[in-house]
Amino acid sequence: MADAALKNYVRQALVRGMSTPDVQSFLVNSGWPKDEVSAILNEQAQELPHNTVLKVEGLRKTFGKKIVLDNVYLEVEKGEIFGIIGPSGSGKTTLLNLLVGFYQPDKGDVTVAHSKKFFSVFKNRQELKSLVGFSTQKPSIYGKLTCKENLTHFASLYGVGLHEAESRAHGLLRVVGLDGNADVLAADLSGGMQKRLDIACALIHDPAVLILDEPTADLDPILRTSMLHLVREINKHGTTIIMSSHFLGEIEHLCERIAILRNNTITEVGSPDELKRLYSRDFVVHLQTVRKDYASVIAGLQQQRICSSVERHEQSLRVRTPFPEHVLDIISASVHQSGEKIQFLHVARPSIQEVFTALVKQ
Amino acid sequence: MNLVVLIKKNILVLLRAKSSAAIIVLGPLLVILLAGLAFDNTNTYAVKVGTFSSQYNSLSTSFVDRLSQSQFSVKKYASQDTCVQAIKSGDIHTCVVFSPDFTLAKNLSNEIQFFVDYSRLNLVWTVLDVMSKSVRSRSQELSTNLTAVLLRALEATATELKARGQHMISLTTLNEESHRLATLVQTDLGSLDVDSRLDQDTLNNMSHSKGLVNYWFGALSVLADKSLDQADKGIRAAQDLLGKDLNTSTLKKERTSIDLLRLDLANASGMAKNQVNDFNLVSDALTLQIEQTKSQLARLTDSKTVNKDRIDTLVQNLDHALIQVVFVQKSMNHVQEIIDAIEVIDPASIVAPIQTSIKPVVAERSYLNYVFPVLIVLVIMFTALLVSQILVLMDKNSPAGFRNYLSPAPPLMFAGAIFLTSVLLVVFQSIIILTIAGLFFTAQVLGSLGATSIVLLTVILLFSLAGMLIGELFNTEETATLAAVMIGSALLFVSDVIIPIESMPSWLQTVSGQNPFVLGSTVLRKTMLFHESLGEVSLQLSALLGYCVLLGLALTIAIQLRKRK
Repeated sequence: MADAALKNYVRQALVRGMSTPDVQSFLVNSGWPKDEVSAILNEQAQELPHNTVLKVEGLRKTFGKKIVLDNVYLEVEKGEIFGIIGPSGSGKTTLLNLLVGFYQPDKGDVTVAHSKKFFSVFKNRQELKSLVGFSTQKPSIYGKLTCKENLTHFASLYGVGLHEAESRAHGLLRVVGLDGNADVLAADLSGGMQKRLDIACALIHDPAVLILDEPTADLDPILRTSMLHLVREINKHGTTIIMSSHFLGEIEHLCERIAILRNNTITEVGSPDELKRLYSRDFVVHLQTVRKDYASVIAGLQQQRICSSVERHEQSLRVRTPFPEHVLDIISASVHQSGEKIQFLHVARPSIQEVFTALVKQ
Repeated sequence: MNLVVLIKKNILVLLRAKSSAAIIVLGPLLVILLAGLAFDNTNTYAVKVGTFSSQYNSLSTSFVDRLSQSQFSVKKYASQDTCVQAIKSGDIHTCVVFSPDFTLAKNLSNEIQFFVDYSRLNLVWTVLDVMSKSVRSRSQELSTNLTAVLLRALEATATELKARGQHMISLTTLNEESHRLATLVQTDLGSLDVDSRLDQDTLNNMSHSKGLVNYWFGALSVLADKSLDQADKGIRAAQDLLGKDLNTSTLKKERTSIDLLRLDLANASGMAKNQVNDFNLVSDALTLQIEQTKSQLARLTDSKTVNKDRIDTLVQNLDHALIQVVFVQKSMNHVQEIIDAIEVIDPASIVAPIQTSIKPVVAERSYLNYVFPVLIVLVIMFTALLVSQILVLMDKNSPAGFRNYLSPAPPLMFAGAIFLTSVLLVVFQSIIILTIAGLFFTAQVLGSLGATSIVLLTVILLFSLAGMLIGELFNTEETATLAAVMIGSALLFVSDVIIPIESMPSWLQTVSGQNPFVLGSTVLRKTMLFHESLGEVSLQLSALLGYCVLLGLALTIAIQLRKRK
């Protein structure tokens, strides 16, 4: 656990531009073993240039006097699904717009790997536009054009020939599940279908990076599942995906790494498990018995003082503790003594939702 | 390729919005249909005229009759107020009020007042024009009659002057003759010696002579008597001496002779005496006459002096009179010359020396012919302004605009596609309008197709660019549409479509002269109706192209600014 946290810190420190000696000095002074720190530093320094497809360095964006983003550092690896979460108004969409060069930052840069070099999206906008696809929260499509017309239109903007464009459109419509709606006006499609068409449009020029802003917003659960499946499918083709979402459960299950955006900056980056481990020592023990009598269990737990919290729900008991083994022992003993029967028992890390909530509360 | 795809997309998006499609296709059809029906005539139908006169007479009635004969619907009103009120209520278009005592009388001016509703700006000029024509026609008739009377009087004067000219010549001759005679009289009178040389001595001498005559006559008589006596005595003596027998007969005879002589002498003496007496009488009478003559001469001298002065005055007066006569003659001649010099003696020509007949510079067909260039520029202006701004805003506000922006296609390419789309659509509309106008309303649209097409294209480019600029400057379709309509209306108002430019303040006239709508319609009128070449309208065409360049630059800046935002 400590190793993962250390790796994450080193990665973020390097991405933020700290020099290797500075990072090493800081960590050694903080009590980390010098050898371990050196090994991780070497490992990260070698990994970065090879895997990173997009880097954000010291980004600052203000609208008027309002600072929306400040000191944002980020790095997205090739082929991963990278999630960005944050409270409403934290600047997720602004960050995504900065990633594609739609907004001009006040400070900092966004670079995209191209031909083994990094190019600023702000200085080489035209050249890098073909590398990135962007699906906005609300579909960026022409309602008065058919699905096929939308796709061929956007393909033509990227210099794709008409024949090739039609071929790609046909393929993408099949990928996004709209192959039967090629000649239907986009305005006549359902919300979910429009979303999928929008993603198809974002993919028409075969970008290396696909950015999805709230791809599942305003969709019903079935469509959300379908959309997540589509994202996985796209990712399987090697496309790096950066997405933001309010649905943290989806992010947790879909993304390989997550960045948490709060207080105008990226505060944490890591895999869901790393974040959980880093920001919550507790496990959650979920208990449900036949008679729903949890009094003896609660008394036993309170007696031991090993729980962070014990929550009595209508049907179940929810216990947060850094010592799940001890809690399981106490539950087992109490249930046995009271003659209860365990109906459901589950031990897990807290969800990313809970981590996020805890972080936001901080 | 990209451009074609973008144009295709723009047209598809625009046409698939039913209202837009309707505006693009049906709009121009509707406009040209309405315009054609409205303007496809040259008549002024249904102008309603109200009249009022406190007392209609033959003159005012003749005017009313003339109006009635001129296609106008004429209605008489009982008062001026009701007549004017009828205009306000829309019952009539104009009210004609005849002044009281509207008659052709000596030194009396007649007035006809027209009351019109200037708020109906488009109608008022037409009404005034046709009414004025009608009234002017009748007024001209009256003027012709009055002028004919004057001309007849002049003619009679000229004839009289001509006739009296001989009299004047005679008068002059007579005057000159009189002058000559008076001068002669003056000369003669001057030379006339009326001074009396019969002074007293003369008269005394005459009296003395008369005395001497009398004396010597007496003495002569005495002497004669004495001689005769002596002769008698001698005879006697001789007789005595010679005897009484001596030749007595001879003596006797001598004596008889002497007696006879005596008798003769006595007779002669008596006669002489009588003659002397007569002489005396005559002498006396002569003296008296001389006295009288002298007196008369004295008076004559006085009279001569007075009459000489008079004659002098008479001569002077005659001189003056002659001068006056000559002057009058000259004046008469001059008057006659003036009258003779009047070349125009036809009353109609005097009343209306210049006959105005309005000949259209193009073949007269209908009003549509005249308004067509303005009409088509008007349609192009509004259509281009609206279509291009709608296209810009559709693209700008479309959710897909973001994706367009993210694409490598440069923003100016989108602008170019919108521009070309707008131009194509407006060209399409223009073709529809031109075709329909040409086919169904016989408008003279194909006069000079080449130049007209270039001018139309320039106008389309200009207003498409203007519409795109409006679209770039505003963020919503509502405000942009409002702005486009306002700008179009402003350009329309500062043109000669509603009121003549010449009636505007001078500064506004200057502004209007630079109005692209005015420039466009002017150039189009020249090429379409007058078949002028592009060279002849190059100045205005250059101005239009200059506007295009300026708008293009402004549009580019606006696009770049939006891009930066």
